[in-house]
Amino acid sequence: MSSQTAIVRISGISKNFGGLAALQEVSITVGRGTITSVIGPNGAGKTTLINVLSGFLKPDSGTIELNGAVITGRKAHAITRLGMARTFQTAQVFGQMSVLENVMVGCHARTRTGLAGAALRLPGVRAEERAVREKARGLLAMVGLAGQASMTAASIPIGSQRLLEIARALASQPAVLLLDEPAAGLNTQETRRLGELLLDIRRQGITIMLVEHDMELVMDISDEIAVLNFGRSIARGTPAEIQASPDVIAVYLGED
Amino acid sequence: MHVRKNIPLILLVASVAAAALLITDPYILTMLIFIGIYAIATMGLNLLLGFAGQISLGHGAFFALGAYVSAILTTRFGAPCTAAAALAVALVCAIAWAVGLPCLRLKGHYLAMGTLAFGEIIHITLNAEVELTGGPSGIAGIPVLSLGPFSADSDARYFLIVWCVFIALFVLTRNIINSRPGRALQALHGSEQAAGAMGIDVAGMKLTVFVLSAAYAALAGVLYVHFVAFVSPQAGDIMFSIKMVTMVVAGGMGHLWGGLLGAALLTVLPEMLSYFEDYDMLIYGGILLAMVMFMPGGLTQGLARLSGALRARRTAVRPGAVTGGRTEDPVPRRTAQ
Amino acid sequence: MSIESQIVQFLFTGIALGSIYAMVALGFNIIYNATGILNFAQGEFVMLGGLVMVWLSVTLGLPMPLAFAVTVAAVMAVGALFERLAIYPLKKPPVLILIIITLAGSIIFKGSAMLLWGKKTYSLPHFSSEQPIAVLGATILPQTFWIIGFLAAVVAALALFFNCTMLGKAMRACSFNPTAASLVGINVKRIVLLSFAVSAAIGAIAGIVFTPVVLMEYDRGTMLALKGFCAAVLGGLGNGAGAVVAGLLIGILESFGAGFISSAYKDAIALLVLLLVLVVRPGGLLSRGEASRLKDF
Repeated sequence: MSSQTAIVRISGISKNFGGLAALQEVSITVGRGTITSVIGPNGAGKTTLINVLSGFLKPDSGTIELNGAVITGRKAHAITRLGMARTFQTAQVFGQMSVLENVMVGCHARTRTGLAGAALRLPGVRAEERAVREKARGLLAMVGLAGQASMTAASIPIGSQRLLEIARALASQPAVLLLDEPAAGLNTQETRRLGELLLDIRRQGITIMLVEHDMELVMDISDEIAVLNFGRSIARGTPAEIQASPDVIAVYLGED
Repeated sequence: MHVRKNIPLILLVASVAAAALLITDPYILTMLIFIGIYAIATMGLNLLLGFAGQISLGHGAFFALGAYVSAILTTRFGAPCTAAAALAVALVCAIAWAVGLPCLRLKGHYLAMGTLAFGEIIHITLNAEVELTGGPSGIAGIPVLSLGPFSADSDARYFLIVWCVFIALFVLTRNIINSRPGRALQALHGSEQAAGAMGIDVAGMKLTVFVLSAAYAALAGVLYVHFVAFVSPQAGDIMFSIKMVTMVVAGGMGHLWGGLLGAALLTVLPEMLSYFEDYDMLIYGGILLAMVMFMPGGLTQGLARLSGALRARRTAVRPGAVTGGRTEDPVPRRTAQ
Repeated sequence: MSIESQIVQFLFTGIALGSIYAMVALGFNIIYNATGILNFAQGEFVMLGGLVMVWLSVTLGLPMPLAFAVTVAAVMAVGALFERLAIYPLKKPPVLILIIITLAGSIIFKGSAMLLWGKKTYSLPHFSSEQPIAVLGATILPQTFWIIGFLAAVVAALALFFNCTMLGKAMRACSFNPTAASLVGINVKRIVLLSFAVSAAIGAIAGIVFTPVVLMEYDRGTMLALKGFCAAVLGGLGNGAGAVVAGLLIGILESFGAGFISSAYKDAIALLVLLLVLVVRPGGLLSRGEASRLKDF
């Protein structure tokens, strides 16, 4: 992949927890506008990778570039502002806030109202508030949660909470969306709709990096797949190449 | 829509105006003044505790610091009240910032213990620095608030000032809650991780809301000290910090009106019960315990539940009112999850 | 008094004070290990221990050993009852709610004590002679040795309990992994109850041995809890040996601070240490980098 089309460049990332090497010299390049999936057995280091990318963990070594700028070691909120948003493996919605407000929080990184402006309701603030509300409604409609907008986030089902997390992440206008097992706990029909949603998001020019166990979904929608095992990246390629790779088959058969 | 939303506030403004004109009984006016002062402090603590989900057991100290700084500036240095008040609030903000910067990296239990320790240190200092603070006997003869020719020398005038401040702060605070920074601080309560992932500077936001809520406490302390004209270290002891927490919890964490309700209830209640003095710790402790165990949303939510249930019963008997889908929670904001 | 004997004097005073803080810290740790809760009412157990003992042995005139046993049992019962009434009924309460509950408990205990005993300060006879013993020019009260002895006894009993009894081992298992503990048949809910009872008992013992030296009144609890907490954090939360060492250290620091710096600020010393530790190294100075448990906080 040529350097112009790479949006995320992960080079030689290592992360140890005590004596355990969660990631060892992992290098992955994510092409602009692609859906790149990271798969691998449990404990392969997939979630650690997402946590390192999104600034929740500092890597021991290696660098991460987003749009050509090094973001290694930046704080989570700064990385979001630079254009990389994430969801969580166990949905972390703001339970006591409404579904709509959750998505409005997502706009935080792209809006500016400060305390004083908010307190005084300056005209610019009102306009921004209206725009944020409209945008949030639009995103809820896109993920199919428009009907639940005024419910508390804690009161909607887990499957809907996952969709809400995606809408909330999209509200930060990311260039790259990191999804940590968005299909976990969804039924077949819901997973199929999720796949369509992700393709829709990619069509809008947003790059997706997907960590997922549901192989059918991964093979259906991915442009590229990277395989992790015991913290090492062992293979990468198109879905067809990965399905044919003896190394990958060994890893998955070995696991069962 | 907008008018309907503002009905409670309009009612409050109207009743404050009516009370200022009609009530002459100094006892009732005094009580209403205290309710207003505590409601201001409680509103600030509610921002921190109810909305942002961060506990502080040191807010009594901010109240006392506000009171003391204003008292010292007016009695020792003859500063005009308004300047002293502004300086007091500013100084407390600076102190809160310095304390909050390291403390707010702490969570839950640690933050509670850290702020409790801070409150105790202030309490000890107020007792020990006799030169400056008068020690245990405190400072007396503090002048009443005045601005130019206008002096709040009657209870009715002081009442009006306190409640105008409350109403103004209420409107500002409500605006904050329903906006970008307000949503960000509520997000902290839901999940700090997710808040960070949404681009919210978690540490910065916590510090901001901590300083802001300390400013409310300091302002309340200033209003208190110029009304009572006396202050002693008791104004900022641990028990007062706990009373403030009780007011927030009883009224309803994360409900702006709840703070007022809690402050009113816990100011009037001691007056209603004779011998309350001896039982106050038991009563505060009992209310605190009962509230978090049985009504974590506080009185505001309890009342909302009740009216929601009544409304539900009324609609349920109407034919065709029953829908198959899930019904909306009658209370839009749920706390303590 | 020469500077040397002054130092010895302060050292012994500090060790006596520190023994009490160490016992409070041990109480914090036991509940923390079993439940992840920091019990804000921990200092109240000490206060109750002292005042109940005064009532039984001075007011009712019970013989010392009997009064001691009954006091410990009574405060244990208070601790257990508190757990059953306020902690047990809640399913998975968030940390914020737990803090408020134990805080409420602490002022309820304090308020009850004020109703029962008033705001008076009470004294208790020393366990043995009140005749000071001269050590290197300093005068040490025999009660100091009783206090140190009881700390040693509590530490020995806890070590025996956690290492040699099934129940103690079950409690340790719970602190490592409550889910796994319940899977192997340990009744976690009962362990939580037990932790409150044991920690109340330790508090009561601290109160009983402490009261003859410093007297006791209804509102001592908060400060004792804060200083005990300081010791617990300094020693690494949940770490028993750390708590003892840190408790003694804080006691000595406070005693020297009161003697050489300012007695008005003696209470502030431990609190400043607490703030400093929380800020600089919340994992504790004496811990072995076991910071992972701090995650929940």
